[in-house]
Amino acid sequence: MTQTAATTEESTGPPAAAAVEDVRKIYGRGDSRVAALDGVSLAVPQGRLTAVMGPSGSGKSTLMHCMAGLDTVTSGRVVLGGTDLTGLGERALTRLRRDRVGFVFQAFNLVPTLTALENITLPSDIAGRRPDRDWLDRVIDAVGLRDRLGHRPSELSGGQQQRVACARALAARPDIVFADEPTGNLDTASGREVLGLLRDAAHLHGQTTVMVTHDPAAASYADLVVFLADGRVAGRLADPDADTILERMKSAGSPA
Amino acid sequence: MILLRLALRGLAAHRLRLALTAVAVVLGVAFTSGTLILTDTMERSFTRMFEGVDADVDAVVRAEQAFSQQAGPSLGAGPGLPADLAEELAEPEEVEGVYPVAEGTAALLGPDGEEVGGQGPPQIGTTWHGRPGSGVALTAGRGPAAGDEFALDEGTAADQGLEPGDRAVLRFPDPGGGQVDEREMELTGVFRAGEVGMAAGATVAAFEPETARRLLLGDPDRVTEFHLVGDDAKSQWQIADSVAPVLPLGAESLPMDIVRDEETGPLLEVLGFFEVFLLTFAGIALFTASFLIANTFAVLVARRVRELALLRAVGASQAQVRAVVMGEAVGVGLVGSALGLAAGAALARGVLAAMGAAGVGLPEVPLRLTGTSAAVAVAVGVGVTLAAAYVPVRRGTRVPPVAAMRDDIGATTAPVTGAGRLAAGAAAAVAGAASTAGGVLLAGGDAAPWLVGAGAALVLLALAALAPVLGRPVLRAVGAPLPRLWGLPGRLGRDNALRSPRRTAATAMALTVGLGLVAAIAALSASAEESVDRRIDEAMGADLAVVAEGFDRSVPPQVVEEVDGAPGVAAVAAVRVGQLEVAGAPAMASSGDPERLARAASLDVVEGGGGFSEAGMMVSQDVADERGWRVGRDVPVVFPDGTEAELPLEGVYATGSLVSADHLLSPEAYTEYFDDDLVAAVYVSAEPGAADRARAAVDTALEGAPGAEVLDRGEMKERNRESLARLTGTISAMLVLSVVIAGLGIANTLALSASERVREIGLLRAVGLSRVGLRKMIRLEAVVIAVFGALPGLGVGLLFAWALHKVLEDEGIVVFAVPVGTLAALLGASVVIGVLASLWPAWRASRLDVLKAIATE
Repeated sequence: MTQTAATTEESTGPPAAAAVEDVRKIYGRGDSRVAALDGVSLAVPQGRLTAVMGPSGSGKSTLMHCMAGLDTVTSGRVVLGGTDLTGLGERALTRLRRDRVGFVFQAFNLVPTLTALENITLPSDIAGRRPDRDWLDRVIDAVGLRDRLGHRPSELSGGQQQRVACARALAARPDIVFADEPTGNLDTASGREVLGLLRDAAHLHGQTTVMVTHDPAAASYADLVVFLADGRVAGRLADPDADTILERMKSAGSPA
Repeated sequence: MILLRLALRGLAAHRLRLALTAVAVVLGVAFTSGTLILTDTMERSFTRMFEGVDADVDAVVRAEQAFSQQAGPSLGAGPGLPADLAEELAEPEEVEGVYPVAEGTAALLGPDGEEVGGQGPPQIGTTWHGRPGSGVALTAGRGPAAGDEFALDEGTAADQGLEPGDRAVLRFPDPGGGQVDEREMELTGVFRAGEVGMAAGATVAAFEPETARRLLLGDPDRVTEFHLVGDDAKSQWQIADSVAPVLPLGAESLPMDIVRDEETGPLLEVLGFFEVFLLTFAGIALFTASFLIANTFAVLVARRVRELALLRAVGASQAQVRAVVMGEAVGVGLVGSALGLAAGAALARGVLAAMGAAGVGLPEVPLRLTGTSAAVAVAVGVGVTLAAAYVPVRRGTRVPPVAAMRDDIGATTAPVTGAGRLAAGAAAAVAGAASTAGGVLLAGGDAAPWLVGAGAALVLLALAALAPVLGRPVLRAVGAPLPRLWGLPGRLGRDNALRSPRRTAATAMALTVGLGLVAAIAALSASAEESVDRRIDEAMGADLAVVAEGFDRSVPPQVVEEVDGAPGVAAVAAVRVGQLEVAGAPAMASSGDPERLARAASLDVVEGGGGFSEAGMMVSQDVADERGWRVGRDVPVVFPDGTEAELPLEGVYATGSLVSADHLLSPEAYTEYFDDDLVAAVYVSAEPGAADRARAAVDTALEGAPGAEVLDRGEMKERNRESLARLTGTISAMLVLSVVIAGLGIANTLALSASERVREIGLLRAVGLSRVGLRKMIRLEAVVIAVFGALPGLGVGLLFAWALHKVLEDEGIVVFAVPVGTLAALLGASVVIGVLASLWPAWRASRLDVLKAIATE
């Protein structure tokens, strides 16, 4: 399934669109102290679909939140497109999310009172920017929702909703798109559509994307899989397919 | 743009949930705008009523008035002017017409022999000139020309079914206080005064000039005033000034505009007080509504945490998210204000119609909605909504963007009590207590009532702030018997009320405000009642009191002579009244014999004590202390006709007698300086064992004297109780709206809670709770909230009433009474309010589809 991308070594690959260096995220203190991230370092290659995998509690969602400027780190550095996020204020983080980051969440991706089209253009509307019409048309065609643009989220199926969310993330042409279990709530067929969309965005338009998932089938769409366990990086796998991922997961699951 | 769109869509999406909030705004704004429209329309009505009448008159010549007469009984016709002044007034070339006017009281008697209009509206008798341009136009018949003819205003004639040619009886009280004159006269014409006619209920009878002078003033050679019609090219001032050289001493000439302002001024002032009175209650209603608004928005943002977090995640700043929700608040405010304005106009129309139906209507004019009123109504509606929504919205929109992705964060609620809330609540409580205590300690001072009022407001605010914390034990106590009485539904109802203390407290506090004020008024009224009862028991030495019916009446003086010496009557003490200026300040004075008043009305002369030796005066202890006056000095006094005199101070009397005025003139001084003879009260003591005979004698004397009635002690108490009850009833009625809004608030909270707990309700139903049980659960939650709101309200109300009683002790509220029955009734009413408020939310919750409810995310 994953014969498309060229075989690249991480070190010699494209420049990093985002990077984290020795990031720690500690919740609570004293006895209830939990390290959700415990010294994670990672580079996200430009123009590629990167998957972050790991079991529940491995810290993969936390990592993504921190990379996207949704959450702050306890120590370490997070760099996004050359900007160091650590130390940025709330205002700057808001601008960063608005102008340079796109999101696809597992659920509740859309503002229920806005139509599909309005949801897609929401980030640029908030920023007060005029969306790029040509690009917007291409994105809408890519997600195949031209005839559903006037519908409210409640009138769309789960897969359609998630495709609208993808369109929203892509329409603003962000530096990087973060997708948090984008197929978690979808049936297999819808899930495949969404994953295909994200991969095409990376390969056809050079859209850097980071996807968090615990589903090997979903991760197999990625160019690079990063395994996370107990708040640490437990391994990397380039150009994976579902079988190699499963294999790696088994070995990662056993004590090192 | 997108923010506006989001706000509008949000409004549309939550319109059901916002409906009750909007209703609360509508009610508050309707009250406010209704008041403004009503008073504006009444003002226009008053002005228009005077506008057309005597439109051609340029100046008025009348006897000089030392000071304007406003308060108390209308003090007779005044000295007037000689009728033959007319010839001299006509001399200046600026003057084209001189119209002598005699004015007084003329009551039309209906077929039943009773006065038309009763004791309320004025019964005016005036002079018929029938000149074109006067604004008084005949609509039927002709003007009166002979001594036994009269014309009548259109409204009264239509009301009484009188037509020209009919005969009717008119009653003329002697302005000098003599015998009432009644005579049958022929109606020759019906007229309309001014553009809009007269106030409903008022009767105006007009007579040929000579007849008017004789009947209304009792003197064919005098008139009340002259109306001058002048050269159109001259100003009113020029015309008024032109006759100055011929004016006798004590007469003045004034432009008509000034005179008209004098007439309308006091009316407009009363209207102003009326407006402030109503607006106060509108303000209380809006304050109550603010609790409901705050609750709704708190729940609304809490339920939309993920949506708001999503906006944050895709790059909206906190300010932008807040702007979206506040935009919805603006929408609610605007819609509520617009509907409220419409409702206010309807309300004003309704009140005017009711006034008309009650016979006290004003001439009909179109409703007057000024731009200012509309702007105020909208500003108030939007302002209150925004102010109430701001804090919960600010708190609720502080969501981290991560909340869009996490299930757990949406569920976390803000801590029940921040340190800031505790500190603010405690500070308000301390300040409120201090202010109230200050008011009580400074009792008698001008600031005292304000201090107490501010104290009560602060205590209420402190309660609102602290209720979420302090409320828990109270809620637990209120809810304690429920599980035992109603089993599982009772337990669930109690626990639900305890679940969100902040919301429960805010909901309950709205009721606290309304019920607290009602309780305060009830307690104060009960205290006043007992105080007056005690005063009557202690101070009334006489057996009977003859008093005037109505404020603008007096007891016919001949009653005093008739009763004095009648069989069974041991002693009579008459109190006369007059208005004067004492040492530069306007004052009401009583007049009577101190010795007689000492027995009949407990007048206690503490200084001097020798009674009056000449035309002298006494003052109350209060005035003596305030002015530093001692017996023996002379007091400068000005009487209504302008006479100045120095009266020797011959005594000082203690407060607490039935003579409430601060100045007491000797009977000699009264006769000498007042033209009128106005008897306010006659105290009659019976001979031992002859109470019935004395009463019969008084009744006989009153038969020929309409406008006065006799009361014994019990009847006096009853009379006082009735007027207090009317006042209490009026104020309570004004507060009903606040209580209604508080009830809406409870319904709102229950509906919001039920919609939040859809899954839980589904679960309860799934495991076997019946619809009836579910409704019971919600009903009991409502009752717990209502009682929780009522209890502190009653407490604060009592405290407030007690403090006011302390402040007003000198004014005669010497007893503090706790109206236990009323308080119990209010508590019962709160239970009923709770049950009523729960009907709709409980019905809705019980209709939930169990399966769908469980499946809801």
